[in-house]
Amino acid sequence: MTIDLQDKTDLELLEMISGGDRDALANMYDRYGRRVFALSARILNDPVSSEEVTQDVFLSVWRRGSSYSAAKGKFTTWLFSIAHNRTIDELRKRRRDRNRQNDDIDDHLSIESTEISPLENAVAQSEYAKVRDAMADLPVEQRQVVELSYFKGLTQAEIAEKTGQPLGTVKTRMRLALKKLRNALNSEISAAV
Amino acid sequence: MTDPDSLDFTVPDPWGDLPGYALNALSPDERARVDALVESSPEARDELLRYMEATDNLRILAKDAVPSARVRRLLLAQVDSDIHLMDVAREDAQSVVPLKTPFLQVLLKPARVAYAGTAAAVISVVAIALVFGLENSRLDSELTQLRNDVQNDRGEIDGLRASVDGINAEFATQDAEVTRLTAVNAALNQALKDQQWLTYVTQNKEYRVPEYLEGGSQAPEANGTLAVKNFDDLAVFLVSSLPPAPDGYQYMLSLVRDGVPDPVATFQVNEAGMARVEFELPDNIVQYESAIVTLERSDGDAEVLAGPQVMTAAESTP
Repeated sequence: MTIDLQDKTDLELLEMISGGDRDALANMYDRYGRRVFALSARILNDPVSSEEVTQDVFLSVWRRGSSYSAAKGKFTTWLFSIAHNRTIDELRKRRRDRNRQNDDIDDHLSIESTEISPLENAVAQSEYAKVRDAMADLPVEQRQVVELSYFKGLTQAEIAEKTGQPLGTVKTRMRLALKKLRNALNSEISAAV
Repeated sequence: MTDPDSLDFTVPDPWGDLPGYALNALSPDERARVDALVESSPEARDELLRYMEATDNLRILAKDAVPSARVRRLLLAQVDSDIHLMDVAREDAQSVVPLKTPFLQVLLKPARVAYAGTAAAVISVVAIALVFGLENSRLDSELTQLRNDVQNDRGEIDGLRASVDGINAEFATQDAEVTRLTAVNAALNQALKDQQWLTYVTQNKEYRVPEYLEGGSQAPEANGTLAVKNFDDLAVFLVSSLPPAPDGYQYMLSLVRDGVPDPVATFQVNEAGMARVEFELPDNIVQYESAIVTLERSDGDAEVLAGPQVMTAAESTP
């Protein structure tokens, strides 16, 4: 039974999950639970909250798996967009709570360079290295808007305010950054992860 | 060429917000506008998917991290709960009894044929009352069934509680047994050491054994050995098979000179009935004719013997 499930594609598993198959969800969690947790932990820097987010994400898959369609892109893109959405929601909720307490959020929003994973040292041509290199190749201001939005959870309006740039500039930088990233990262990565 | 920075971005621009959507960097209003756009425009949806492919790769930058096993356990428990609730809802849906409208029609049919006006109205009222009565009766029946179910559930819960109480009591008993065995084990270890020590002193030329003691009527199995180190004031009394002293009491070892006991040490025995008592001789051992052990109150006078003798000098050496 377990071996059978391991041989299933993501979409086959998702179909089983939509039909109420508990084991299929467990198998899906075993495939992607770590990566969802890692993404959330990278953004929240809080393992406890990240575990809650991870649980929520897979509950969403369980309850709303039937809402997925190929028109929404690859399954992993859909799954990790749910994970990212949920994580950013949590981050913004915290920020609101902190604002209510009149805390200064500047420290939290400080720009950090992308951290180097141990994986990079172990596997020189890893997916990590490719993405990191692609990020490093971006002009600083474009990399900044990506990091502030994707990893720090700022809206484009907040980024404009924080960086002192017009909103149009922020949007343009986002568009250019994503186009360059997409061109730099070949489909090999997407296929591998 | 138009400079993008010069564009008025205060005007809603869902096309321009597609990258922000992929990065989760939009306000709820902006997000709603993009949702509407991609719903109506396949081109916009395709472009958004291209941006999302780019952002999807960003997650690879997250360090590898492993959630605790608790997450999987809680997730599957939640799923089990969902499955259970769905099952219950399905059963409830199947158990709903439809209103008895055919019965109502049967009652009204003759009224339509034979009577008119008031008569029909009266019959209708009676019929409706009957239907309500039937419905009420059905609800009563369901209520009774639910009460019975609750009662049964309570019975099961009480049974489970009793089982849990029983298991807890068993655990407590086992804990007590483990504690007791631990104490016994410690006592036996000590006894083994004492026995080895006794063997040592009785075979070692540095020691001599001037006195053996045996138990009286209160401790017939007890036996003791008094060993004295040559050319030294050090003496050791080893006792075994002596019952533990009652609460508030202790044993007292005395050396007897000219028929008068001279207390030299107090002691307790372990659970195995053994003790090793080291003490300094108040005088040369040859000055004493024998030794005794008495049972004394712990809060009594250490210099005055008031309790019964439980061990005295053995008539013959073992």
